Amino acid sequence: MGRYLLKRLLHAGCIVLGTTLLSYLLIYLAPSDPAQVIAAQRLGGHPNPAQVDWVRQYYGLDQPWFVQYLRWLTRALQGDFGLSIRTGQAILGEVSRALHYSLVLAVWTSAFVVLVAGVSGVWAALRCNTLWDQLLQLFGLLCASVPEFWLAFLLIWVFAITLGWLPSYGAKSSAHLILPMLSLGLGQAARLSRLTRTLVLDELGKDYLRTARAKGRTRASALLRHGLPNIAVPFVALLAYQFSLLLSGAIIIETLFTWPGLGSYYIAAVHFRDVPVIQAVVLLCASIIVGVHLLADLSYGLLDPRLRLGS
Amino acid sequence: MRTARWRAGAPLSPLTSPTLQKEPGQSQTVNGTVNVQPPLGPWRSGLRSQVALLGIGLAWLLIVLSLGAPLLAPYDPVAVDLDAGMQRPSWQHWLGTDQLGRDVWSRLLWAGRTSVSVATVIAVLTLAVGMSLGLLAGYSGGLLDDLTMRLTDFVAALPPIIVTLACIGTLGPSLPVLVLTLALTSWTPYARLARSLVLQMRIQEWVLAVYALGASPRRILLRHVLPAVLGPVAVQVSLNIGGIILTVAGLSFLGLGIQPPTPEWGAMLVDARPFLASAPHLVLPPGLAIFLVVFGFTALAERLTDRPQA
Repeated sequence: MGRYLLKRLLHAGCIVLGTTLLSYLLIYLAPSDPAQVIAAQRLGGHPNPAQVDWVRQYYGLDQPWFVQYLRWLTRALQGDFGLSIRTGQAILGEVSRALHYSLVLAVWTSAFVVLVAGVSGVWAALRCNTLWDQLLQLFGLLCASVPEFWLAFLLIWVFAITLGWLPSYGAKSSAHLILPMLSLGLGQAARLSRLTRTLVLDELGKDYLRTARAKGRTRASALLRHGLPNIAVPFVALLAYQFSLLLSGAIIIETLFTWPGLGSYYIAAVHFRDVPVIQAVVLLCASIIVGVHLLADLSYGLLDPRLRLGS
Repeated sequence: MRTARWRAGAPLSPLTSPTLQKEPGQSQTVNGTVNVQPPLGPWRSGLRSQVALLGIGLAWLLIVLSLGAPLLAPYDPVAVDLDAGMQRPSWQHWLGTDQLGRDVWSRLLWAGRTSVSVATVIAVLTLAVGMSLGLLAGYSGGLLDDLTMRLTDFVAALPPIIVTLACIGTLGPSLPVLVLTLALTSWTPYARLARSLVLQMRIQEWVLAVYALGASPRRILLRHVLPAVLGPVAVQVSLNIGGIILTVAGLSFLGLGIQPPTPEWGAMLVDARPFLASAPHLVLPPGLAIFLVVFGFTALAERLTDRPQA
């Protein structure tokens, strides 16, 4: 297990390191001279060439790219991503504030997804091929194809404008959480529910459940006690994937509901061409994805003893 | 998790048969191409199947209409007529007009043309990159395989939409940047799929037979392995196109994808946003169109998965 862990950690580390290189090189894609941009932002207006040269030297922009990269990397590893060009604030503080909001949204959405998908998936499997099952499946298929942002429009239209029950933008109270959560969660719940149904149906046909039933358990209780642990691994795998999407990819929904998370922070930076912030967010998102997948991979051994290594 | 490898020229026996990589959370489970079928395939009968078939039909109809937009659209999609702004649906304007007096039905068709062609280009590029890398890795084995799969792991960790936005954020919004970055960040499922299929295939007797007959690796790969791989890949393409249409619409919705005045479904939605309360006829059509096309491709992918392997 120790060796496996070490190997996985090294692997994850390499990927993150590769991402740092990629996100650093982004600055070379930019058509504008970074020294010019920084000088214009710090000094205001149009800086003269001497000022630009001073900035270039001061920030080490005249050094070879790998020296600059190493400097940027050592600072980034210490949590110093520099200042945002747009706001002039330290990026780390802004990013962690945004990440906090994104985490809140992602955790609540995932809780909603697990609850809905778990219950509806198992229920549909137990009622396999009845009309209810078919209706639920159909509804799931529709939900999985609805574009999130259009769903958000419809939800705003119904619950915020027509009924006036829920706020449609901002993040002041927990009521503000509901509409973004539903917009993000319905599609994900539909996908996870579909997977759950398939997995449960697969397990229901197996011998060990028949044995459990022969010993006097009902179908539902046999499934809950013996069947569900067996579907945990694929369930967690999809959930982890969806969770990483929520943390890094809820850009449109966050922007639409003006939820001050990572997504809307990132979009503001992209519109402003704020390259230091873009670099930091790319690095952070890749790390989140790698981290979530690593945790999920490590959890499989806990969930399913057959997958444990080193025996 | 690493698989046994076979190099061209090495003796082949079922004993060295590769155990396929099963990586939960990767494309196979995520995209639902896992071949675990319920005892009775609900697709062949019943309500769900009929609705899905209807969805596929409507989606194709919409695509065909969109591609015929230059002939079928009754108005110029970008012609501004402020006097005719914000009209409700009528016989003159089937879906009404927007705030600038542009005909919504014409815009819808032209926007579909944009979405479908952009998505097709991206899908073909993605497919080409992913398939060639996957086939190469699976067939050659050894160091090349290792390197390709490490590259795949790396690219898979990069969220396509974040990277695309990063490139747009540094270079400014443009169509080539959008197409290239999306294609270069989303090929990994194809590479993994193609590689695992090749690993599966090279222990098949008919491949061994062709090999024994002295066929060159290139011939085996292109004439025998590639056609057999196409079925599962078609499922992946079908799923992928829906995703690409969603992503492009999403980017345009953020104002960073297709730039106005070119009509695009996502951009039409965001234009309609201020009039959500007063003019629902502007919000419904583009959203419904995206939904229909995505639904059609998802349903198509499921039907392809359900089809017994020939």
